[in-house]
Amino acid sequence: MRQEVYEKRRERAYQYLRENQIPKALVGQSLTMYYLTGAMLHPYDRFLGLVLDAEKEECSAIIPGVNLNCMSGTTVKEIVYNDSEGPIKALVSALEGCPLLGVEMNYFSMRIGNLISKLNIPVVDVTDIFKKMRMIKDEKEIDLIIKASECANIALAKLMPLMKEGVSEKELALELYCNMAKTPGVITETTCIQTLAGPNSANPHGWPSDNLLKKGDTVTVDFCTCYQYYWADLSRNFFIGEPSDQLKDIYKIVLEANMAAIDVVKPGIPAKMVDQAARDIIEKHGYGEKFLHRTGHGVGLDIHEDPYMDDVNELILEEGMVFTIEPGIYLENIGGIRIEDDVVVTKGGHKVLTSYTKELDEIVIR
Amino acid sequence: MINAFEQRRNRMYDLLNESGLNKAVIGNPKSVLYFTGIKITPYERFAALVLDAKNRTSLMILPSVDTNCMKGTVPEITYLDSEGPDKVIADAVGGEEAIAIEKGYFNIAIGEKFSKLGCKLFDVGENIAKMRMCKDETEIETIQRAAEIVDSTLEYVSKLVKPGMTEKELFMLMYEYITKFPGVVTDEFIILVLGGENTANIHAMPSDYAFKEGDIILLDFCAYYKHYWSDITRCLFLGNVGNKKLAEIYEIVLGANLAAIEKVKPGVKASEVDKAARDYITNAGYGEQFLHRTGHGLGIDIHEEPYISASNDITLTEGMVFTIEPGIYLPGIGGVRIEDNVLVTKDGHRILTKTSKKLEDHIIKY
Repeated sequence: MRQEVYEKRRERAYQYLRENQIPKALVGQSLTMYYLTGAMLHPYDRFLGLVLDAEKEECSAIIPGVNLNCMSGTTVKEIVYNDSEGPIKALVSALEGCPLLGVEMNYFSMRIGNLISKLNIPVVDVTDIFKKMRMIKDEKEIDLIIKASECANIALAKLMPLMKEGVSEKELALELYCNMAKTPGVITETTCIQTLAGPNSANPHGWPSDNLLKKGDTVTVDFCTCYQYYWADLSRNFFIGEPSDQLKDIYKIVLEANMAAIDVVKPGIPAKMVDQAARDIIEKHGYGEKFLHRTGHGVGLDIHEDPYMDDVNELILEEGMVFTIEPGIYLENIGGIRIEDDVVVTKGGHKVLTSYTKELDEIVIR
Repeated sequence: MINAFEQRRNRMYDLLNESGLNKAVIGNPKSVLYFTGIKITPYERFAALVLDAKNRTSLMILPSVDTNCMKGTVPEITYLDSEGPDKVIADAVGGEEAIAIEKGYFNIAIGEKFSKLGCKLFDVGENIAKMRMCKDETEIETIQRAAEIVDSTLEYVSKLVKPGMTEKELFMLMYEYITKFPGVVTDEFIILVLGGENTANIHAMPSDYAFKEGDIILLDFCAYYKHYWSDITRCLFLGNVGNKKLAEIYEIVLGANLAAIEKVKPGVKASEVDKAARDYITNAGYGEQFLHRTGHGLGIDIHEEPYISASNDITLTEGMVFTIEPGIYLPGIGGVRIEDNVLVTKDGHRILTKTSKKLEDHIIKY
């Protein structure tokens, strides 16, 4: 994206800050910094921060020496500190005399909080300002998420012929990763791939192991594709040979829940209605206790971000929000089913961005 | 017999008792792994191990989606996405005047949740870092094995790298090779492959750049084996050393690497190790081009204590494992970094990475 995009975002951020009488703000989450500058930085254990001066409409980056020149090509000023002195002097020089400082409190650690408190400036949380900005996607951002979901579809289609008895979860994950990584524009530095077979799939946060696929297994493939830093998140279940009646049954229930939740998505309704639509179906069939999590989460620069589709979130859906719909049922020692799509809220309702088949017949590997 | 994890929890109970604190709240998944043997993946949800030093018991606060992930190691209390963690937090630490908490991990907003309960908060992070810093025999064996995997990967690379191959292609081959070792964990990886002038950029990521005859190729990568890291950097030259300047700085960086390693033994300060490398490079006239610290600790985390920097006066003791990785970076020409993993032994040190560092051994014939 061109620099003007980021400059416009910073201008909007300055405006929101001024509306809240916050003269300066310190943000640090890599993704927020990327959103505001177009520079993707990896702090590892070092301090990184962006100081937004809402009054002067200026932005500076406090960075360690190893990130020197990371802001070249932008109008962001670099304030560099070296490893042995640490960031405190740089913070003082950027913030001295500031009467009130906005801080991304959901990001910076308490330890950094202590460092900031040494500046003797009253602080206020600005996490929500940037969350809200990032929550509403513009057309270009939606295009990138669509691109990511297309890559995901292709990678999953390529994986399907490999799903057979004797293949390990790890082998499937590796294949999926390589399929995605080969597509130009796909970012390979972070990955999130779950390929879980049989009873392992009953753990919603399991990780691919050396476990081998067996006849009768269901295989949950839940993976994310990152295209130019924007994520798509897709889950499908496959069946190695004819599934048991029980698995078939819960598959149909989860699918019904997935479609019911997608169906209600439109501007003006609270997020919890989306969750409720899925939850009602699963509860109606007696599996409410086995639906261990919320129905979905926002996607964008982050895999999990606002808005969250849970049963208490009153947030009203707006055009440009993108999130997952991923109800699931998990049966210990048997397996789990989760069907996940990515949905964008449009003016007239919604558009589903993921298109991989959900037809039971097409996902049984015979 | 009690296992290593129980022993570690016992030591933490003792440390807490010594400092007059009843409870510690630990959330960094790496620390939770250290104290329980279980790797949690809570994403953005709150999860924490609560150590009760008075009763010498522990329990794990988890989102319901991660139910049973502790596999019986410690009791769990879970909360639903819709209710959030506040109540279980209050149940776990309410009534305590002061608690220890990982301030380097939990964010400021979480900190406020605890402050609101009336708890004074002390940082337990340094105690954990100190415990984790000195590795036991099993940990050392695990890191040694991880080091063997990176050594083996370099041998593999030297046989297949050739002009025309791109940074990303080589990265993929290395990722695949490393992943296939049983025991290698695939949820995190770091593989930096840079060619030609790109090597001058310390934090660049693999791109579509295709290697040319005479290029320098910098490989900085890790193996994450059974949740322990190794970390190596070597520079290869395709066919010949295309730029004499690179041969010159290679020898200087190698001299600095050897001088720093030579220093390592119990009783020496981390800053003295950094100084040995830095003096060597400064005397050769490239001090300004050595942009970072000499090294970092290695273990469950890829970057942890002890940091080998000019300002760290920590005294080295037996069992510490860290990197020695001086470098010189010349914009427009290229960069050289040579990195080894070093263990502090009773009498001195042992180098865990065994790949040759001689320039002539890294001129690739193809």
